[in-house]
Amino acid sequence: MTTSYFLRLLFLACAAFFLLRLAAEAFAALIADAAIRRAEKMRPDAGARLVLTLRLLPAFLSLLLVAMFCIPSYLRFEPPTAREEIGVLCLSTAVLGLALLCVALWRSARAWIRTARYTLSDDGGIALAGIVRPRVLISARARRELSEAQLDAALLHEHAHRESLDNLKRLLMLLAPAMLPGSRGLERTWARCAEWAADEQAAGGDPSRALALAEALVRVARMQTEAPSLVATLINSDEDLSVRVDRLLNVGAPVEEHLGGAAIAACAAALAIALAAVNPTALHAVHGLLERLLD
Amino acid sequence: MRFFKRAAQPQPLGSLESQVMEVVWSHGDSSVRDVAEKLDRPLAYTTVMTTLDRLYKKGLLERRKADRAFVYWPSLTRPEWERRIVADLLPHSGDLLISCLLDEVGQDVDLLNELERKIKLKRRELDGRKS
Repeated sequence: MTTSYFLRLLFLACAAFFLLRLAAEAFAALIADAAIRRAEKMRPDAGARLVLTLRLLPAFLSLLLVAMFCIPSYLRFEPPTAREEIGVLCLSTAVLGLALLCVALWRSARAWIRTARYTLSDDGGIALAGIVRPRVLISARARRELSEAQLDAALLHEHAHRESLDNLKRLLMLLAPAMLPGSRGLERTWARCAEWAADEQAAGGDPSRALALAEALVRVARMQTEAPSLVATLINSDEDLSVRVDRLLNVGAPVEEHLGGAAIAACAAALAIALAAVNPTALHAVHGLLERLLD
Repeated sequence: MRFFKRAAQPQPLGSLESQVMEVVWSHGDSSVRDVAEKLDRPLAYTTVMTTLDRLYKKGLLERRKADRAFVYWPSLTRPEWERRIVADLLPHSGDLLISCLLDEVGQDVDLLNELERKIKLKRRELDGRKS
């Protein structure tokens, strides 16, 4: 297929994005289990950060590399007038890259619209919905049945989710749809760690408030169990509730964890990428690779 | 020869399909005749055979040939099937930008009693320390 200069750039960028993404995600999948095990032993907010970083890194890295290397090297070294053929490999991977972007945008837009319309049922608990102007939703029954202290603790929990921008992180995960199965585990672990972190922040080291939050959790779980719906009677996922209550009953003994090494490594990697991006030799090498992909 | 195992899709079952599944879930390995005999109402052999075949194609039943007839057995237990149906009805948690106080529903009542007992003990211990 013969294409113009800018159309070729679009195809190349999409193809490079897809291939880089696939390679980065394969690497992330390889270390996902070890990261999950590590995150579960860390302080919850640090654990959540670790798995979220690993979950989003492939998409972020592939976009960064395309923006900093592929596009500049093409613009710099490709003759602007040339009309060239695009090979099947480039075309097919470009289509896959575009499809990936479309899926990401479609899922995110759908989630945005559904969240805007979301309401809790009478037997639902308490939730924080949305990103720009997040709404705290409290079901009628929760308002009726929770004591003032329990409701306060539950609202502090939702406030902690708001402070840590958890719904925005959910959107970022939708914008970076996974291609390989390993990321499901990362998402689940992130959700669990984010809940633990919000519990800890809501408790604020105060055993009495932690207890009120534990009571609120069990009360809401009971409300959902008593709800006369098919949903309430059939799904059993009680392990996490039990863990959360146990953590709240033993609040005040956080496990210290430092991610100083990881932060230094991330800064060093960012610096190396930035230095490479301004190096003409690196850009020339990338252009050579793109030429091969184009054929 | 089947190279790929069919996955049980969470499609709602019709009335006859539900009755047939109930029989297979309760009695395990069953031939068409076994199922026909155990149904509440008399039905033609071919009707039962077609229903079993449909359930097999939906992935709810497995089958093997024994003496020129098929023997069917469930590929999922009843609770597993119900969980799949419900999971399909629920919005996928990743498809909403929502942080719930409690994500999961349908807790085990015994577990909730146990957790409440633990909380009460802790509350008593805390109150004891204050006074």
